Amino acid sequence: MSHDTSHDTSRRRRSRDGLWPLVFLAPLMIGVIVFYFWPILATFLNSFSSFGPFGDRSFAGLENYRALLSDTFVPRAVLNTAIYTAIVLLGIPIAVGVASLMNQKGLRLTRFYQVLFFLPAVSMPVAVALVWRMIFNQEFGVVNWALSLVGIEGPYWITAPWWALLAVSIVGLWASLPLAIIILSAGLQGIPSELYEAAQLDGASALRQFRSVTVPLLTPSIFFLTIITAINGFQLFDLLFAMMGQANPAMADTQSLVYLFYSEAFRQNDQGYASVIALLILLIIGVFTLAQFRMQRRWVHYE
Amino acid sequence: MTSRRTFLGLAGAAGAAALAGCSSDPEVDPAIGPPATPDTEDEITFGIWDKAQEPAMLEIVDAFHEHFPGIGVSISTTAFGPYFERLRIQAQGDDLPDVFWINGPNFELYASHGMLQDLSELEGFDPANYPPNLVELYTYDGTPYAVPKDFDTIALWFNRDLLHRSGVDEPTGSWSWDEYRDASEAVTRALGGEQIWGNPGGVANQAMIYPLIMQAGGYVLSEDKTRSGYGEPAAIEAFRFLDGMIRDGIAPDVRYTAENQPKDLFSNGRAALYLSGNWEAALLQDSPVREQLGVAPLIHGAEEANVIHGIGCAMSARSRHKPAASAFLAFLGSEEAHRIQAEAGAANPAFLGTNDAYVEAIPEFSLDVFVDAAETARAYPASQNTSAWLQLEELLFPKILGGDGRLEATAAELAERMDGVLADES
Repeated sequence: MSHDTSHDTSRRRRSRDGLWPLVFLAPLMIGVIVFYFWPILATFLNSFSSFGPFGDRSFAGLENYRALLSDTFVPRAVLNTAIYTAIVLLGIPIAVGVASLMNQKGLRLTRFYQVLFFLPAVSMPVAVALVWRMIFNQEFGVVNWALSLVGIEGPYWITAPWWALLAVSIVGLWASLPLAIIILSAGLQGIPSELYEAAQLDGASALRQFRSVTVPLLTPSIFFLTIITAINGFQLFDLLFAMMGQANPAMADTQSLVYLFYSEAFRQNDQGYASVIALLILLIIGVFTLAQFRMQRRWVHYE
Repeated sequence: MTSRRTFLGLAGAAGAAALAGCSSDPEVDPAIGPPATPDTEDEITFGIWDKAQEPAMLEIVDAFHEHFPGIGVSISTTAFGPYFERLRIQAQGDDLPDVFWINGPNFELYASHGMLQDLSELEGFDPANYPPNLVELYTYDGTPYAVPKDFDTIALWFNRDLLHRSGVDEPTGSWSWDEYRDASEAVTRALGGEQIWGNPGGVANQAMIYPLIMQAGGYVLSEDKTRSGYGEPAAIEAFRFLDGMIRDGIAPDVRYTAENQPKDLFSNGRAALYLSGNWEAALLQDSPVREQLGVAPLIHGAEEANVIHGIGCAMSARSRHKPAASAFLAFLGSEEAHRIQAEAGAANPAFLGTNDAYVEAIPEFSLDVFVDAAETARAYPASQNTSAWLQLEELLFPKILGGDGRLEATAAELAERMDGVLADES
């Protein structure tokens, strides 16, 4: 009886508030609906359509999905995107190391290092890609010059299959470091110094402290970075586009999923099929992120 | 539950609205109507993509203004990269310029979707004034939809100095494939140590791969525009010819030319022979090797074949200023306008008999070779959604010539994908 009464009161209160909660939510919700939900829904609807070049469309049923399954570019693009993401994720352990070194007490020139490691984040991506293109140039590039000093004839980094993917991944890794270092530095500063003092009293070496105090307490930051970096990795496009350039024999074997999406939507004039590729990217990112949230219980320590 | 249903209902309504979009405006008369008279007062827009040709276009507008003082023409120039992206958006929004440039790969897309004005009734426009293969490029379903503006053909550019140093005689007429290969080989053997190549390789379509396939007796696009020719024996023969020179070290590898463009190799004196069009003249005129350059007719295989392409000037079918636009378009196609652009050295004019002005504008090179080539050249291959298969060429030509031992398989893949694009065209 009493249970029912309380239920009634809450219902009455809700109705007395009228539309006000919705009004206050509107500024945020309208943005979210217009710029997030509507495009996702529209993409979903588009995936069942066939488009003409001037926006005229017709219902295509599952035709676009069938095309996805028989397109030989797709499995290769999935593989390329996965390899790129995996290599870029290697940046996280590197960033943990760099951030710990930069946060050592008594380190000189800390500001200088911070600026140095933050530079990739404030440089224009396309300009960065073009500079790396020169660095990796087979004939005049710095990389192959350095290799020649130790007697190795360097490969065509940008224009040979697999090497091109590796080169793009290395630049992706380099570009992902600044954000990782900032997040991890913040994480490091949040670790109470008493923990290190206690570890010292127990006679732990610097390496042992890093392994048993620093890394476990950084796991929430590392988890966050893994999610963000993976999502960015799956969206590889501009770096690939700018670094590979025109008439590149490695391009067909180095396409990423978003590159395929771009080709279909803007070059092939096939927006319906492009929508299916966009949904595939969404699905892969969704599954991967969900899996990470499942697995985090095993390795992320919240104090 | 109700709220979710309402939401879905709304989404459905919005989708239906999007589906229903694109209805035609009853106000615009599809007929071209009579052209403007000298006392007509109007304003029209003219869309182009080449900044370098803007001064010549302004001169033409000034000359037009003398005949029609009441008609103002405002030129809007967009870089070539985004030009057709923009044009498509303008077409969707019913906001095309009254008169605008169009090219072969995009022509049919616009013509077949009713975006272009039928020009068969345009007063002062006579297709007989232009090379027939160029008129053909801008004819859809037997109806002309654009006025030819200029044209490009292909020839063999050569560097006299490099040929001489390698003991090769300058080409005087058209070389055969074998002569071209032998001369390239001689130069590479003689000057390879200085990083100089006989020819600069590459994967150019219009300037190299298209004519070579046609010379081998093949086609890029079948006559009925339903089949790609890239899997056919003639195409394989052309690819093999180019691939063979790369394998034998006569021409640079595709991996190399992706980083060092053939155009740059030739204009920097690092290649002796270069298959390309008259559009290179403006650039080569300012290159460090300009004194040593000459032009010979294009090489030939089992057959002689050249490819012609040129810009066309079209009118929007939904222009609200058709009389003024007709007058301007007719003037753009006139001998007077073609002479103006020729004398400016801007482009090789399409109007028959005005080419001398262009040839004389850049006297260093014997550009008349390109003019002569127009007579027998074949129309540039184009279908409704050409840009779709151009992207496939861009992606797969370099791979076909990439030396991975899968030349035929990759050519077959290109043909299959291109057939798929062609099948989707309505």
